[in-house]
Amino acid sequence: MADKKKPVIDYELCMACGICSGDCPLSCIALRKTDIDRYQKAYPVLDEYYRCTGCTRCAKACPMEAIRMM
Amino acid sequence: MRGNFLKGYCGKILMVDLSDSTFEEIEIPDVIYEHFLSGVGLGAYILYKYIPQGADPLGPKNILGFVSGLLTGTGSFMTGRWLAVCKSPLTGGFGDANCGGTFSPALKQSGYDGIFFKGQAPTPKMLFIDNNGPQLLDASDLWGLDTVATEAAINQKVTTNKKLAIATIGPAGEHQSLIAGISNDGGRMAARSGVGTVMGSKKLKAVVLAGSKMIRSQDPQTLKAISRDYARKIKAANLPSLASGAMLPMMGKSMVATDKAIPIDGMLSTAIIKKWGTGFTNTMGMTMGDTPVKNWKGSVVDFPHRKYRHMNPDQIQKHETKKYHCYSCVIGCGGVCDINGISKGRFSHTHKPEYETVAAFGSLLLNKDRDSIFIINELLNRGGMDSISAGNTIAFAMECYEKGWLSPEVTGGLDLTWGNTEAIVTLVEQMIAGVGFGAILQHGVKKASAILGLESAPLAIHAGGQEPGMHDPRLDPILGIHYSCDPTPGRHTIGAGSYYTYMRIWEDVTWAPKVKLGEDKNDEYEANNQVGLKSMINACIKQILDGSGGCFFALVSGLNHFKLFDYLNAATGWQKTANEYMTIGLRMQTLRQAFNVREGINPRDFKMNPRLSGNPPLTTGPLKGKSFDLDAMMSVHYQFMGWDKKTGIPTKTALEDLGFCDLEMEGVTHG
Ligand code: SF4
Ligand code: SF4
Ligand code: SF4
Repeated sequence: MADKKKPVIDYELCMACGICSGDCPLSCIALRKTDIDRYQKAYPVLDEYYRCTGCTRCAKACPMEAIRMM
Repeated sequence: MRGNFLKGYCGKILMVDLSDSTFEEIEIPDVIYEHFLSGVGLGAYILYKYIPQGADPLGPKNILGFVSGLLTGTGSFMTGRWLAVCKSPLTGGFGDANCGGTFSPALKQSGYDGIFFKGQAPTPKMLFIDNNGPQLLDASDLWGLDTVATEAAINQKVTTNKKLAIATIGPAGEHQSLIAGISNDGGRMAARSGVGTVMGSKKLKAVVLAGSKMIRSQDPQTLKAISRDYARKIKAANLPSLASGAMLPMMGKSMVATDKAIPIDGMLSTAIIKKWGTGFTNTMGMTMGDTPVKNWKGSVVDFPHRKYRHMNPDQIQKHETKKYHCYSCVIGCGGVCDINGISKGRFSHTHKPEYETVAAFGSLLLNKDRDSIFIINELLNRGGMDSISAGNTIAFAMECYEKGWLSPEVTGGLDLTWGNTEAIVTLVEQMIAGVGFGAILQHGVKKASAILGLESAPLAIHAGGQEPGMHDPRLDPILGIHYSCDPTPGRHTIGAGSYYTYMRIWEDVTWAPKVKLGEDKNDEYEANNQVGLKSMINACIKQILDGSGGCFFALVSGLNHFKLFDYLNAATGWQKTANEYMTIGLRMQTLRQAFNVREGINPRDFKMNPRLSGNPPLTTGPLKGKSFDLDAMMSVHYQFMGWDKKTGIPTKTALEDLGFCDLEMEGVTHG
């Protein structure tokens, strides 16, 4: 895989909508980070760093443009 | 060829014949989506076309469908809901049940807008789909497991790259309780219409999805831009940090203190839902009169503050460990609660009990034991049973018991005195297992009343066989119209006067009446044109929402914020006006009604129990003395829908105007 960049989530922009998590073909992203807002909403975390192929699908799907491939 | 699909929908469905384990992919022409959208509209189209007239709801000819929404997976927010559709064994007419979680995108990622099942399997089966296509697998070892255990067992058994989305029935659906639902994501339920019963009748234990196909839309950039705009508003909608659950009863009181309409911005309700989920109305509904008490014959006087205060959502939230939300949701009304201590180790956690469950097992039964509600919630989610129907049915039994019509011999020794928590929990367990006195109540209130004898019928609270949601039409008569006139009766999510006010549809639909500050709310107790028009609009917009996979809480956040019509245009490229979408909504609703008429239903028979229209009126509480003429209200609704005013049957002219003849659906019944 030439492009080994991985998704990095900007929690300032992220709305915890779960689209990235639901769209990742390998389910690499889990919704489990609960210390971001006062509602304890579950924010995404790239749990499967090594399984992630860097396909960019999550980044393209994110409506908030909160994911950068780095 | 249709390979280059760019309209948000997949353009095909899967039809599975469980009798001979065969699959058929059916391409759906564009014109069908343009006439009925996807979701519930596509479901209604398929059911109308493929279920033979008069099919037994629990026989092989009935069809059970799982449908996604047109907007699901398109980059739109608040559009991750799916529906189960079938002919309902509870009402004999159109059945559907709405649910969230992750199952809706999984349907489309598997390549289908809907998956439909006909026939009956000889032995338990589950459908599995990944990118290689569908397979029917043996599920004999899963039969008998509860919904949570079923998901765990399937996850053990099936390994895939993608996390599985699983919809499953529990024991209630397996043994054909008529109020069984379908669960996903560890207890989120598509609860209503007896959809789980139909799934059980087909010996279909689970639908398991692991596809990862792309969902393509016409204009992804615009879809995302609309989403960002909505997100900005949702992010800003917050209550002051001092706001506490203790204030909610006061808010409720102030809302009924005036007869004048106050069209507040829907974002206020969103801020409240962000904080508490549906639980905000656990106590607020008591002082408003919205929450039913004692099988709908009591009031807050019978379940006063010292009792209902236990349902304060702050108290419930103390058990919450994190929020839970459906795919693409930026509000997040759900939660996961730790109940290990409460249940003495029996269950580690449960989905946060919805208001509906808190009311159906709280005030409706005069049960003030909050802990028991957490446990009942988990029992029902695991058993796969509808909490609204189950609570209403137990309330009916308690009223019969109070009247002395049920002796302890009949109830198997259970003391069904109002508020007897222990008996309520036992009864729930019996209903799920279909044993003891629970075997009589497991089929809902209409059947229970029929078994126990006709004189109990006035105590059986339902509309056309479906038990109503926990919202009182004596407070909001338009709600009563929808309970009684919808093709899926008894449903609290179709429409109400209050919802109409919140959604501000008049900003998009040119002919929709605007609610003005200070308007007299008492006008809604009369069968006038305004009421007919508002209820017609409610019914149509709800179809559009359910055709899109949209969440009800997005709708009531206001269409001025949640740009449903713009989303649809960006996904499909249609460039239709809001008015044109409303015609689609009307067509969808009319098709659902035509299905019922074809199945021999007299729409007037769906009229809800007279208690709910204040006949006789309540003698205490905020709704004391409130009543309305339901027959007249139903007539005015039918009239505005273009259905025969007397019979509720869609007229020939309405069907022609809606284009059913051009669609070669000339079989659609008319008056
Ligand atoms: S898709 Fe974007 S906004 Fe949604 S959870 Fe993922 S990163 Fe956050
Ligand atoms: S880059 Fe691809 S594989 Fe990696 S997390 Fe995103 S969607 Fe998944
Ligand atoms: S508001 Fe609640 S029901 Fe609606 S999409 Fe969000 S989590 Fe699901």
